[in-house]
Amino acid sequence: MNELLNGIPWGAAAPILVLHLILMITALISCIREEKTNGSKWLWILIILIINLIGPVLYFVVGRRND
Amino acid sequence: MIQWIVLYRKEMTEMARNYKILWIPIVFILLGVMQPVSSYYMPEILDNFGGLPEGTILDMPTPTGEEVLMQVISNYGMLGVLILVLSAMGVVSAERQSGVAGMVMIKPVPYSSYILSKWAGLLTITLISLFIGYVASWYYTSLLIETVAFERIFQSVVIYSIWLVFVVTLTLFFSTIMKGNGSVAFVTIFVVFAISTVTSILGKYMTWSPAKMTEHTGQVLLSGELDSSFLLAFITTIAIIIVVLISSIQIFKQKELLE
Repeated sequence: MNELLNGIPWGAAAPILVLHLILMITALISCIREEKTNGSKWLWILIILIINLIGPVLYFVVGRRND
Repeated sequence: MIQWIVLYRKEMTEMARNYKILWIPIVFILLGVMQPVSSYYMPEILDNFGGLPEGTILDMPTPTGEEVLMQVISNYGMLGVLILVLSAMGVVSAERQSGVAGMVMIKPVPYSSYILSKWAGLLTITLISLFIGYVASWYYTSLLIETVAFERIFQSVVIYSIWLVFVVTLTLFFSTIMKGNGSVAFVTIFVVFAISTVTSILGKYMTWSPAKMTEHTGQVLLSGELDSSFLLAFITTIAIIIVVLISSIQIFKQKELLE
């Protein structure tokens, strides 16, 4: 396991992870601050947390009310 | 002109408020970065998860940097276009339904300023996302695979951005003439993919087609030289963009603002 972790070039991998995190956190903040989402709020929070990359994008495209 | 600037600013604050200015560039970066990373690790991925029998020797040529970047462009052509259209679908139609458009147009604002400010807002977000994402992908390609000359990157991204501008302009047009976000997105995506498919089938006869931009992008990337038919495609694309914009303004004038 340690060997596997050391094998990852962190210089290249870290920015990708950070971007994923930023995307997830903005989607979460937006979802929590929204009064009403399209569909259940808890479901959206779960989707954002569990499905990587596609979850937040789906939320931004479909979950937010446009008005 | 002053009204246009005010409307454009409103457009940008709105994009900041619904986080579009953040999430669309991030998604473009991730889409662009994924490709060099996965082509770099492809042999190891196949080794570990491919389920190939022990001792299989796979001779996979590592793609050149240009080839990786071409795949990035084709990813943008599918997923990038999808995301741009879906995020821009309500640009006019949702505002008309919620009554915001009516509130804006009560004041003495020219119709053209309204549509053009929308268009400029969409262009800003599209170009920012494409440039940042593509440069990030170029950086990762240079890091993991091989260096590609920056002039080629620059030329190809400029050519490709014309195609994305075309797509976004079409979205704005359909958003003006139709109600309902879903139908706008559906029709736009249908039209865009129809244009690309027809162009790739009848490529010989459609050198003027805007979808040829994708091909020219690939060519600049691979050889660094532009085909002679580029000028024709460029002129028709710009002409179509202008015609579509003018007709959106004209149609918007005639539409009831509140429906």
